[in-house]
Amino acid sequence: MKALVFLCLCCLAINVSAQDFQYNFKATEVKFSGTGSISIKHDSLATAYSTAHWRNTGLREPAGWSSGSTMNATANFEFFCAKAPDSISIRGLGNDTINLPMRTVKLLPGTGMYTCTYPVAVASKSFANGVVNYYAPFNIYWEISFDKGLTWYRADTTDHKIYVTKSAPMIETTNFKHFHTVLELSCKNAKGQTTDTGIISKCWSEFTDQIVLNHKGDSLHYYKNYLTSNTQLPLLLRHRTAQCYTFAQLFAALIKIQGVNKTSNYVFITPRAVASPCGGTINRFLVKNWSFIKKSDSSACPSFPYKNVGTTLTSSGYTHTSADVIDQTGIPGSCNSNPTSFFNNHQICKFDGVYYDACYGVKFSSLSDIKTKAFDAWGVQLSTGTWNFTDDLSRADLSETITTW
Amino acid sequence: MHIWSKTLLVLLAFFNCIFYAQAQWRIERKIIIEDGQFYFFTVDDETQLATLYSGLVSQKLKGAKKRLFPIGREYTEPFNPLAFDINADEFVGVNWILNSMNGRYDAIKKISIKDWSKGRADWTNEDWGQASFDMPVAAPNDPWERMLEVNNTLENCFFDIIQSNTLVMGVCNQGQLWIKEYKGNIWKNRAEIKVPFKQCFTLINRPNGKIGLLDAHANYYQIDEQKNELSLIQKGNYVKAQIVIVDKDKKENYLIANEAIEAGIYNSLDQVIKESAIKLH
Repeated sequence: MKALVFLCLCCLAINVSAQDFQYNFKATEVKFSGTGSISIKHDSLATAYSTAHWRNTGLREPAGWSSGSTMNATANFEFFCAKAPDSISIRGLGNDTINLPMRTVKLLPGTGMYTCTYPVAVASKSFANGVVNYYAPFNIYWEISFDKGLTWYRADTTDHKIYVTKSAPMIETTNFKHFHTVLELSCKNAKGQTTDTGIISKCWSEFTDQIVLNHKGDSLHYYKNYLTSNTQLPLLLRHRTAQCYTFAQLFAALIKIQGVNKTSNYVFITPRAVASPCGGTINRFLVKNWSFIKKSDSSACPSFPYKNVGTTLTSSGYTHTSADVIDQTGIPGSCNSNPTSFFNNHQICKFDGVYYDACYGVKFSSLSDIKTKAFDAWGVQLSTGTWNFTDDLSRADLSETITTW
Repeated sequence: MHIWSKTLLVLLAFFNCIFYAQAQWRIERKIIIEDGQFYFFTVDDETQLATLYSGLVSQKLKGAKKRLFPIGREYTEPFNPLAFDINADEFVGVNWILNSMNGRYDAIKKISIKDWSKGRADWTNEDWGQASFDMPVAAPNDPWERMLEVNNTLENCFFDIIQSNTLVMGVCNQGQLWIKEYKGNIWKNRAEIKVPFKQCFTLINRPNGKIGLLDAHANYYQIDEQKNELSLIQKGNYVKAQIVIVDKDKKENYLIANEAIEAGIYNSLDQVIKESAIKLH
């Protein structure tokens, strides 16, 4: 009888103003779990996010699963009503008909309201097997019923960021963590992909416009500061400016997070150690574009006639005591139209025989392609503080050292 | 509780934290004793830069002088600790900092320790990195280059270096270990051995003039250059990697756990060796 009276009152309230009623039933917290869930790490410190994924205080934390897994969820609610029944039924309707089943829960009296907990429940279906997915947002429409599921009323909506990887991510290492940005970039780009080649191809598209952003939309710079010594992925994600190593690692990480196991995927390239005709070992290269002004060392070293003296790297460029070769705006890198371009070595990825240079967003079909398409010169140090260059790229070649990242 | 006793407790906790922080030394590979002084390094994984600790073997370890040093190593898996040796004030080591300006072929550096004993308070980490790349080359890194010629895919790749009269380098990749010696400006092969290493190894100059090798479980071998094989001298079977103490004054080598050094921070290295080290034969 008591429940019937309550039902009449509430139905009257809903009928009069459903909007008002929605405000009277509020989600306060949602937590996800379940086999196959991914412990996502903060970009900044590589620590795991908290166990709550949504709070009405504004907290929004991402959740992730490998495909074929089934989401589990629990939630807490506040219920404002002058006279409440002993219990109500709650269900959640999610994207792709991934729903949370009806649970009848007790309402507990609190100060000026009632509270209830939707207990941990397994979603009605799994994330589609073998498919990358990206839900931004994954909305859960929470509905309540006062008649054990005969009639449902839309009560509140919670919004979530959910990542679904093709397979379980590769195991974490010192520098490969299940970072938020790695999941964001990988799942967003590879959404809908079912094959390794499809994943590699789609993830690569993140780099081709030379604009790589983190999960917050902040730029990840290739040498924003020319002096950066950041060479590991966690440092790129933390400081958002780093050397070439980190962009290659980021691309490799986007593949690994999908559980795609590709060995020999990381390539260190450097000039093959050969002596220049003037002495010294060729161990530097200039990435386009540099202008060659004069050959002040053409008599002493005709094979490497361009001479720069007292080259100093500053935070935004190079200074020289004297220079025959001057840096120009050249090949743009990630979020930087003119990154540093005087190197001993460079790092790229290699998947299925193709070289991917994630810093610049360009691909190469062979090692020799890199020097002809991207380099302006080879360099050799003939004395302390002095570098000689040649624009004859046939004078040296690159060597590659391959590892598995 | 009186306010002063609370303050005392806070202070005690504070100093305890300082001590604890000081004691967190992850010593790189070995401690060298020469002319009554000890030398060892730690490396910051993020900056990749080394810090040199030195002091008298007869004085408390906690009084070790500490200074940044222009050398370093990357931190990637599998891990290879700083490869170095010290002889008559000269440091020889492999500068394996990951940086687009640090050449691997030029990575074997030699540095006078005295020259770098003064602090450079105004230097940034980048300055220290640049200084490490610019250090004089002790020898071209041909052992590395020759290894790449055989196989440029790295798998279980580790290296170490020692120096006495000559420089000796060991490089291992995919189960193949090369021991090379730099003499008269030329690298010569001393041994080529099949090894099952999946973790780093450490080379040791043995008192008999032969080259010793300690694997990651502290099994101690002598390199048999005739047979191209490792002859086991002393079984270790430690789970955790051990630190080698190279006492060049007494011409003796020891093994010790990093934890024993940390626990002995209020003692002298002499005493720590007496109490906790195991002599390598």
